[in-house]
Order: sequence, then structure tokens, then C-alpha cells
Amino acid sequence: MPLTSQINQSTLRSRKQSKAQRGLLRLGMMKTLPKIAFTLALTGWLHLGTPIPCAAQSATLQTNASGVTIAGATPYRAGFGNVNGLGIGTPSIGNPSGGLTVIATTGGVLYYTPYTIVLSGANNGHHGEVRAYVSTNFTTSSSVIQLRSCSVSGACTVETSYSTLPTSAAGEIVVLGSTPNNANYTAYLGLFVANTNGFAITSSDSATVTFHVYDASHNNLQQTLQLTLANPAETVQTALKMTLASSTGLTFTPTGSTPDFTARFGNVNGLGINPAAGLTIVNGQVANGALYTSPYLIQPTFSGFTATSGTTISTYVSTDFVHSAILKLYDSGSSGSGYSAISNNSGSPTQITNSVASGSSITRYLGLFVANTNAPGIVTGSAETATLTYTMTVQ
Amino acid sequence: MKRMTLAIFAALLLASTSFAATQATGTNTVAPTLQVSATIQSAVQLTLSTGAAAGSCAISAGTTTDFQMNFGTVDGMAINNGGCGSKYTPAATGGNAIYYTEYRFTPSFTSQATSNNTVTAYVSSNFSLANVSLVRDTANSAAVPAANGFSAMSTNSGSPDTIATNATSGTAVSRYVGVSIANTNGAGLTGATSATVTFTLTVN
Repeated sequence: MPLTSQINQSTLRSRKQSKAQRGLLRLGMMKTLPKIAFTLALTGWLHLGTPIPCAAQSATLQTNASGVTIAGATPYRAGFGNVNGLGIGTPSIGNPSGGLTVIATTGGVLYYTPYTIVLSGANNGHHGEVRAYVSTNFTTSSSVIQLRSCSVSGACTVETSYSTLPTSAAGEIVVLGSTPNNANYTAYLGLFVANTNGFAITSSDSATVTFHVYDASHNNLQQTLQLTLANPAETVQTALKMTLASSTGLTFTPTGSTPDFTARFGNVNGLGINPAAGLTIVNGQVANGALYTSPYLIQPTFSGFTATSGTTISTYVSTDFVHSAILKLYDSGSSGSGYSAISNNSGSPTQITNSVASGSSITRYLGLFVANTNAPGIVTGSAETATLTYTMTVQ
Repeated sequence: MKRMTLAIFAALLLASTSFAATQATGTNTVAPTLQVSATIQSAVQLTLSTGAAAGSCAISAGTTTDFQMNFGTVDGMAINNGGCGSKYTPAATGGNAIYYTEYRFTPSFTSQATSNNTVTAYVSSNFSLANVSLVRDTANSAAVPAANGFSAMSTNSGSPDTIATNATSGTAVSRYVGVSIANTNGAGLTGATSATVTFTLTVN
């Protein structure tokens, strides 16, 4: 019992001392609490990498009034849709549409659109800067399509102001240069489409551009944004174009309507007397009349085809002259010989060539035969027309 | 609502079909058109050429005239052979010496309502020497004229000599023309001289 009592008394004293000590500790902690809290907060911030809201630089992407629609938040969604290497269709060169403008460039065309970067959190001590790269590229070869960028304040209606977006973060390029000013900035995103053939094309292709927002004053990455180009997805369409043009002879004039081109032989006669400027009378090709001839150019271009061998160009008389017994159209590959009457049958047109290179003009000779017929009721002095329909088929 | 949907569809359809025929996308064929125009005119042509007979005087393009021919040195007694062609002496003709040659003319005409035609000729500018004149074959044929088969060529534009009627377009016709040299004497009867003959083709 005494032992127990001693123990109990000793325990009681000890408890009293502990109570006194705990009270002192509480008073001491009250004094150091702010330091601890600050330390914990700083540790937590460093550990979690959470930006301090009042100092971080950030950005959002927005639709530019003149550009394509940029939807949602990161990953934002936009797209170029159907494109082609000739810049024809909608939009086309000289005819912007849907926020896209197309301009010709070496080896193809450039579709471009403006977009808005809304920068915030920048100040004199923490400049903001936005850089970009292609984090997920198109499946279609970069020889066919490439994403390009024109930075804020660039001359972005000129293709030389665009740089190819790199496909790695290490090579990312500046889209918005270092600035302390929070504002809406206009940059341009371009899609180069080559006027090439022989590559596999992935329909409904897509890519993603990653934007990095930096504290440029300290080179600290502050934010990552992504823009997915899948709405609408990109499809490189086949495109082909065929025009006729003057050579050293007749003037071939594009009309912009139907028929697409005109060529006027002017006054002709069955004797070949006084041919108009640019016309040559070729003898020995067709009997009983005069053959007026002129060189002209056939200009074929096409792109986006995986194979082009066997491409053909043909022509036939789709609408003949009223006096078809007197006026007849001929074709030849050389100036002085080889003329043959152009077919009047759409089912078996006159073959001009079966070897066509895109972008290479073909010099051809168009002949107009005028029979030297004399007969009662013959009509003279009135212009007559015939229409040739050319067909280019890329195979 | 159905009407609105139909209207929108029609508008889209029109937009796609208004595409120029010179270009297309999403396909492999394009078919541009070329309109060729011409106006047929009627035409006539008359050319001269050297006769087919050997030794005929050459006809070539002239400088002040369309064609030219040169008989060379001739005389009223037909002593000189001339530069070309043939000759008849005064004894043969019973009058002047005649140097003559075959020549050809080719009438061509097209887009005429008829093939009826005439070819006439007259001396529009005569020789400057009084003893020299132009003659033609009286018979208007391809046969070689006899010594007495020549007639003086008209010098009147109002009544030219008809040398062919209803000739075939594009076919050469042979005729004879010559110079008659009188065996007279007097001042100023020698030296180079020339005359011009105007031929006319009329299709009617």
C-alpha cells in the first residue's frame, strides 16, 4: 500500500509537472505558429507545383473574328477541313471562306487562319511568352501537309512569314513573343498543302498543336494548352485543273463561264488567202480547201493522287459548226504535219496524249479546215462556232 | 420546316454545280470547253505561172506588178532568139516578127453561189516604143498558135479580151502571149521597154 501510495503521489506530482509543461509549450507554439504555417504553405507549394495565382502567366485560345471557330477549352478544337494542293474549290486562292484564306506558295498552297491568344498574369517582372509545336502530327506525310505558324505581329498574309511548326517540344517556336502586357493577341496558324502526287493520303486526318505559356522573365513553364485540329478533320482531296492558253498563234481567252475558253479564227476562206495574225496555212494535209492552224497550250495540273501514270487528255467536237461540211476542226502534235480531224463522238474522242506531267504545258496545234466549195445558197459573212470539249482523266 | 430544308438543300446543290469546268476536287476528271469561231468569206484568186512547154518564159513575182516576164532581146526581123519562148519571122506571119510563149493562169474561187466565171485581159500600160505591141493567141486555147494565130491584145479596160470562160477553180489554164515587133524604122525604136497586162477573174 505505502508503495502504492508513493507511486500514486509521485504520479500525481508528475502529472502536475506535465500539466505545467504542457501549458508552457502551448504558449511557445502560439508564438511560432505563423512561421510554421508559412513554412508548411511554402513546402506545399513547392511540393505540388501549384502556381501562385497572383503571379502566374496563363493564356486561353479564342476564335478570331476573321478565322475558323476554335471551340471548347484545352484541348481546344478547330480544323481546316477539306484542302488540296492547288488551292481550288472553297476556299480558293483569292476567295477566302469560312475563316480560311488560301495563298499560292512554292510547291503548293498555304491555307491560313487567324486565332486569338488571350494572355493574362504577365507583368514587368514576369513577362509572358507563348511557344508552340506539333505534339501529334498528321498521319499523311509531311511531304503533303505541314502545319505552319506566323507569330503575333508578323506579316501573316505572306507565306514567307510562316515557319514550319516543329514536331518536338525541344524545337518549339515562339508564337507570342515575350511581353509584360496582358491583352488579346492575333497569331496565325497555317496548313501548307503540297501540289504533289504519289503519296498515300489519310482521309479525315488530324493533328494537335501544343502551346506552352512561359514566364519568359524566368524561363519557367507556366501553362500547357492544346489545340486539336480535328473539327473539322483535314482531308487532302484530289484536285485537278486544266486550262488552255495562247502560244504564238491565236489568242485563247478564258471566259470565266461556259464555254471556258474562246479562240477566234476570224475571217477564213477556202483558199487560205490572208490568214489572220498568228495563223498559218498548212498545205498538203487536207485536200480541197485551206487548213488554218495555230499552236496553243494545254496546261494540266493535278495533286493529291497516289498514282498518275496513264493520265490522258482527249478532245471531241461537242457542238459542230452549222456548215460542218465546210468548216472542220483538226488536231496535231506538230505544226506542219500530222493533222487529223477531231472526233465528233464523245464515246471515242481524239486522244491528245496519254502521258501527262502535272504542271508541264503541252504545245498542240489546232487546225480549222475550210473547204473550197462553191454552191448555190452558200452562206458567207456570218460567224459560226463549234465547241471542243477536252477531258483530262488522272488514273 | 420541310420547305426550309428543301430550300437549303437546293442552294447547296446550286453552289456545287456552279463550279468551273476547268477544275475540280475530289474526283479524277475535268472537262473544260473551247469555243472556236470563224466567219466564212467568199474568195477569188488568179495566179500566173510559167508555161509547161520547155523554154517557156519564166513568170516570177514582180516588184511593181504581181508577176513579171521578160522576152529578152528581140528585133523586128526575128534575128535574135529572145531570152525565152519561140518566135515567128515576118516572113512566117506575113507582117511583124512575133516572139511568144506559153503561160498559165489558175483561177480559184470558193464559197461562191455559182461556178460560172470569166477571165479577161487587157493592156493596162503599153510599151513606150511605137514598134512594139502585145499579142495573144486568137483561139484562146492551149494549142500552140500558128504564125497567123495571134491577135493584138485589147488596150481598153472597158472591153478587155476574154481569154477563158467557166474555167475550173484551181485548175491551171494554158494560153499564149507574145510581143509583136514591127520591122519599121525611125527614131526611138530600140531599147528596153515594158507593158503591163491586167487579168480579171469574175465569178458570177
